[in-house]
Amino acid sequence: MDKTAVNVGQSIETPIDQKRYAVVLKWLARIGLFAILFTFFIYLSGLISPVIPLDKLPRLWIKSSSLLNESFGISTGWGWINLIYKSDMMAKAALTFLACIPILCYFSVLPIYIKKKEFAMIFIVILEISILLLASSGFLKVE
Amino acid sequence: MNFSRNLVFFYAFSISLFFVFFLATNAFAAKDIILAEETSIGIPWWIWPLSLFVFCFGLGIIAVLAGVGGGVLFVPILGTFFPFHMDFVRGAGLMVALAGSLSAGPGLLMRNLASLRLCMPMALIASISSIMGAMVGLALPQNIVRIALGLVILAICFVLLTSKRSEFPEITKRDKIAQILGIYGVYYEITQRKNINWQIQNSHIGFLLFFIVGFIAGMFGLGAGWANVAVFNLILGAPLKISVASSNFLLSITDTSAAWIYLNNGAVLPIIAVPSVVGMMLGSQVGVRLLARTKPRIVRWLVIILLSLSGLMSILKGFAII
Repeated sequence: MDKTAVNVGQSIETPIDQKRYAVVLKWLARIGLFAILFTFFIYLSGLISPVIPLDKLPRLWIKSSSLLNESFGISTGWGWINLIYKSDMMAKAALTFLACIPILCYFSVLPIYIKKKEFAMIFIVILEISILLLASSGFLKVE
Repeated sequence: MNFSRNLVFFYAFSISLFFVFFLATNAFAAKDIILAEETSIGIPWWIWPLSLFVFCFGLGIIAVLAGVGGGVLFVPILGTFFPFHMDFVRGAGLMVALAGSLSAGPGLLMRNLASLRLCMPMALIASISSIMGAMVGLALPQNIVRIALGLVILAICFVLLTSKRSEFPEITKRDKIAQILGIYGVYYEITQRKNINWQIQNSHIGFLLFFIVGFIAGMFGLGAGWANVAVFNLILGAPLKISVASSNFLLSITDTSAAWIYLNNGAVLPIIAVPSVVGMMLGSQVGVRLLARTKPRIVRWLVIILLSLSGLMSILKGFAII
């Protein structure tokens, strides 16, 4: 077992890479869930107006995502970020943050593998980060 | 390996049928929208998020008691019984599975039950295929997605019915990939009060199966726990507890890849996703507490019946028969 590991009881050690991933994940997930609840409260309370009025939603959510976005001029990819001052886009930003968490966790363990010169793991981590960044970039659009 | 063959057969069967239906059918979407419109309009908007919250709270309890992930129940049932377009149902389904997995992940990793080194290579393969699946799913007409989803759900019911899990699989020979990546570990088995060492085999078959599982998860917005556990446990030979925990953690990575595609294509509506996420998470907490007092076998049967019903209804809806 790895010497740079932490004890969790029953004389079993959690590998240091796994521990760092878990700690980063724990805090980011808490922040993310809080952000979701907070922004959704703002959205429902009507304190800030949304892009799509709440009372119009039942007529719209039966249509495909592309039709709905077209109706309200919401562009695909990261175009919605221009409307971040609207309450529904704030709630969407919080949901987007949840999807960012694994990318940040992968970044957090990369230095450990570089320090240990574990080239196979470095390759896997960099490749996974690249794939997630590509998916998040908005380049992969569905027409 | 009989079960593994069945599993591979059913994946292949579902995918082939899907392509057959993709080629054969194409004309029922309009009627579907009219039906949904009649259901959705005329009811105050706030009824829907409230119903979603209550529904997902119940679903969260059932998912824990039945030992299946919430994601696999969410999409077929919501897609069948609520008036939302399948784009938004699948987008919300991925967010539900992602949120559940993110909140469970730290504890599972710290207790050495989920293994980062076991998940990372598998997640890489499943991420690529789940992105592909999400793009295919969003490009297809809703009726095709419904038919394919129904077929996949029926196949999942078969997997759940025939699944024989092995608590401590015997590993005859650790493969080279596992050796290079250092995939092995130890965890404390509380029922036996001793440390259990584990390792894996058949990584190459695992990669292939995770590719298929990732594609299905991305395409239908299903959490893939129902399949991940079987692959980890029966193909790779990881102990059952490691398989269940690693499967749960793995979802946080694979579902993220697909979730990005749905987010970037505007297929995640907060009004549907947030009440679902919160309801499911709270329901799961209650489910964990009820677990000791219920008979999981009965609940599992109920879930299989419920899934079969929604699978059949999804197919019928796809063909515009109902």
